[in-house]
Amino acid sequence: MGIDDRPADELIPGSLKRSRSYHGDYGNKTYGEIKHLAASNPPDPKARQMKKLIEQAERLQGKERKRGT
Amino acid sequence: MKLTASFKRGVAQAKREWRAARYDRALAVVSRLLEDWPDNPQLLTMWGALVQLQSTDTAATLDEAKASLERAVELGEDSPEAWKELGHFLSAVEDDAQGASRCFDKAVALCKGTLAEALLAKADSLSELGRRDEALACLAEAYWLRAHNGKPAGAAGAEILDRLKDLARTE
Repeated sequence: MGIDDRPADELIPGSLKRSRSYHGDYGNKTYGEIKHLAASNPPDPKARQMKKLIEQAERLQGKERKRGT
Repeated sequence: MKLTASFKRGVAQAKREWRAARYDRALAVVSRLLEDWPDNPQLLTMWGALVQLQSTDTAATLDEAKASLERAVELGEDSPEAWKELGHFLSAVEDDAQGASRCFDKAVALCKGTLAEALLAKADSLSELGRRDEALACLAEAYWLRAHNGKPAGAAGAEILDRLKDLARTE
């Protein structure tokens, strides 16, 4: 299963769920759905914030992996 | 010397845990290192980043993570890494695009400054080696960076231009 098909709650670590940018009602939406909503016109503000949290987690998880290769 | 070795070993261990996705262990290692080096910007930056990756509720708070990143920036004012991480935090965690943009500006300016200095030093080495064209290219790139770093190239820019002219005159 690709990252786009995974629900936000699986991709956002517990600590980032305490951010004001986390919206529990979007936790079951997939990253793909969230990206789509964030890019809509007008953009969905909750989706935009959730997208940034997912991407922050992905970036931090990959940070040392990228440097280690 | 022993202290430096122990610091390097500790950071390497934390990075190994981080790469292996054992974020709780990586955080524990960095927390231990911070007991000995509480004002180290690299450790403070790592700690602030790792707190965000914790899966349990018992971990430190996001406010503490932010405070750690702010302290890293304060202590390592010339470290683009700390500014970049604080920028990402403000953007993603606090949805503060304006604050994030200021941090990224600072990181970009620091990187450009360091790159310009390295290019000028490399131009000297290449010039000594008789590799004139490559030295000219380095000087031109350094000048461009200085001129596009948010402030006028000024005296430093004029000095680079003089060096470019001198080098261009040589055969």
